[in-house]
Amino acid sequence: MAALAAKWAAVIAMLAPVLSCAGQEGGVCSANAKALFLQHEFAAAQAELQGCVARDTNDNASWELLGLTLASEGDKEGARADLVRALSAVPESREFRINLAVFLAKNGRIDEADEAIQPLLGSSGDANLDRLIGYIRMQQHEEREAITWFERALQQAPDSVETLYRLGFAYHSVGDLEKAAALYRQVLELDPDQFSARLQLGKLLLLEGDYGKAEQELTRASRIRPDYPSTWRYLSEAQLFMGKSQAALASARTAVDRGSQDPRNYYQLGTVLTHLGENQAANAELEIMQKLRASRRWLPPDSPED
Amino acid sequence: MPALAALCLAAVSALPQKLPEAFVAVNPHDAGIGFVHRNGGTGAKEMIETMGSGCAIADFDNDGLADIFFVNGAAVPSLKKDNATFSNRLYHNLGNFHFVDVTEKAGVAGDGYGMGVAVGDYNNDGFEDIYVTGFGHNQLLRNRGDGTFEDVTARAGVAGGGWSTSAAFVDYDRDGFLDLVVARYVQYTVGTGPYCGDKARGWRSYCLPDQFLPSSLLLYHNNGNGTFSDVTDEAGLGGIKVNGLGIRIVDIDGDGWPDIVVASDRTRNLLFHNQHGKFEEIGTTAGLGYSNDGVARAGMGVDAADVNVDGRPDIAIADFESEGTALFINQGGLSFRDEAGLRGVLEPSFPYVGFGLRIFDFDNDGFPDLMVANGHVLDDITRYRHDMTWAQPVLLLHNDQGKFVPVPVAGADAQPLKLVGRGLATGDLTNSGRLDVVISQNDGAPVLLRNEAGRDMNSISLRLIGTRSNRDGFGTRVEAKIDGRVWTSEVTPSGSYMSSSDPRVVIGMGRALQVESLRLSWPSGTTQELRGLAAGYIYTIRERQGLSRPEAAKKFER
Repeated sequence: MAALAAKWAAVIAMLAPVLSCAGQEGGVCSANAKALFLQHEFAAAQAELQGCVARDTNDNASWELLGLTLASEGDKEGARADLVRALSAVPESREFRINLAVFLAKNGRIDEADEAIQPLLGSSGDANLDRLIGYIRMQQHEEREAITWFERALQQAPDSVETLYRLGFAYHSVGDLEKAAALYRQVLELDPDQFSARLQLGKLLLLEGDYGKAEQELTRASRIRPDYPSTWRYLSEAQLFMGKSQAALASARTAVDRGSQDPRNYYQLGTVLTHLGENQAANAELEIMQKLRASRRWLPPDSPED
Repeated sequence: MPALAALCLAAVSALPQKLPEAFVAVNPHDAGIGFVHRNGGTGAKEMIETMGSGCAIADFDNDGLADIFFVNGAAVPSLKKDNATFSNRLYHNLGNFHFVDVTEKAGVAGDGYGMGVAVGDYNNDGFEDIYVTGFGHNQLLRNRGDGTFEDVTARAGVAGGGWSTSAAFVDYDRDGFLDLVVARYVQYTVGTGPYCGDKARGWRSYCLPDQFLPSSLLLYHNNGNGTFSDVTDEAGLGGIKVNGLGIRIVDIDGDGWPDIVVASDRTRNLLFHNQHGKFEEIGTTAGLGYSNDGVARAGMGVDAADVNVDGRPDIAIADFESEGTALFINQGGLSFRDEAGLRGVLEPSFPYVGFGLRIFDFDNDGFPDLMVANGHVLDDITRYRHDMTWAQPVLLLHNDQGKFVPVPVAGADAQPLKLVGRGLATGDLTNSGRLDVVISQNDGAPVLLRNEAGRDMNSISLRLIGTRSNRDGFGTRVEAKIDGRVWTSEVTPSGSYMSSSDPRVVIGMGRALQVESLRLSWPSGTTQELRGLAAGYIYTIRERQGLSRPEAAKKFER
């Protein structure tokens, strides 16, 4: 449930800039609902909006906001239907189009999102749009193109934490670790509690062999999101390299505790136990890892925004 | 860092770092090499078509010049070499990068769908024999010593089965005869694979190995009478199934017993630790099985060398795009740690799909460098990834005091050499004391790279002849003391991807004029020492106990 909430918090964060435009296309009925929505009072917003559209089935702004509300509540099909309905009624609405594309992209319907955004590709000067296209390109594994879009977005909004992070992650994805680290650092200067940037920076430092700094970053990340298993796994790695075996053991155990279905966490625990000479215990953990690995190919992403 | 390593790094740092031109790409046709790999692709996207094949560099006729052998595919789905364009090819080296095709005379055209090649003198008669792996069955070709080969597969009992990839000759029990280890990939049947790719758009593409079951290795013990026995299970290799692609023989703990490293594609890499002729698989606990964070990467080619000059062999494994080539640094105590990021290997290798890989000192400065032949597995990758291509640049990383720095393969001004790289073998094709490179491409012509680097650096080359040990001297540990630094290596042609390299050991010496002492620890237990070997020679050394002299010394041709 916490993961779901976190996911939708991320969606809302991404939508927030365009939400300010919601309601401009239609009547005033949705104004109160919009306020409720922005306060994350989704159930109340939904009730309000359902009243609006019952009174006026052509209140497209309310349909739009209802779609966003349902998305926030996890009703994907309902959300999609309402967002599509709103856009169909007002196809020239840039905001509706962006909202639909964001929703589709965030729900893994990348090709549909790409299609929805096509009419806007020629337009320029909108950082949110450029960032969204960058995000879609990332999901399509077109990282180089994504970098171009994120950089465009950044020119218009140089202090956008979201864009800086995504650009950093795109550079990270193509292996340009130096640029990625610089961007993560920039994010953290603006928002020291940006969890994903903190985690990714820790991972980069780990890769580069700067174990001390990696440990610092990952420790801070673990304080921001103590529930996130991969943070503890990487922290354990850093601690092991630093010779802090007992701390590494504790972190690896926490990773397993928080992410009991991820074979990598058992691998790290097994590695630490091997290092400690506890071969029997290590083998037991590594066996669990092998079994989990055999039963699933998919591994959870390292950060909630990946 | 151990004190010795620090000292050595300081000594070598004085060497010039300018690297104007590493290699010159020689047109294969100009060199007399008309081989073109054919994968037999028909559009059905059978997985065997995308794996390419290996190549080998070895002196098959003992004329002192290393020859080249290429493995080829076959028609699909018949898996038959139904015309000469599917033949494996042997090229006799005439010197100065001129070769002549002797395939027909030698009788090595082969049959079936070929994959990899291993070279070794299994019967200790002084002539290098050839083992060709393939999809369905393998082939052992005994070198008669008169320029012809005899197919002895059935008598030797090494036909294998399934989908064999890399193989290596290794005297794992140190009885003086080369045994044979074979990696196998997935369990696959032509014509029955699932539809992979984007069916809605009609884009049929090659499948990932995850769609199929993995396979076990094969280990054949050489009985010393021309036959082999399958000892896979009793030696401890049975029952462990992975998608095996690369094999490197290396004594990771310096105990004199050769260990086996297997690079595996999206299943864990294996490390079979040799305990006096019995193996224990310790890849995962040794830290080689997975990435540092527990991911089974797409291991293809594998090689080993002491990259940080601490006397212990380190291991590199080429992986898939967005994974980067792994560089496992040997920590001692049967423990490795991937330091690819720390040592500059990760970043330049990150965008590419790596296959053939060798760690060798291309500029003879005393530090082993890294070369990776890249090329995507999907010939239609641009449909899915606009920023990806099937052909990808060859990667050359110069070892700059323990850190790797990308350098142009063929000169700073040249275009990057983009290939659908698969096999990669190194060897001194001109007896110049510099290691040249042959890269095989999938469904294309090979590439010959003539070494132009290190012309003003010194080196020696060693050709070993075992007497009590196997005649090739495979498994011999070499320790050369040069300017106070001890350079270590092992004699083996194994490593890379489905390929076999020149077994002669070339030792880069920087500006040093002589090797102060050379210590050879043979598999038989013989310890041999030679002193004051001058730079610029190929030394032939016969196995003898104690202090001795080379049997022959031949000046480099430069």
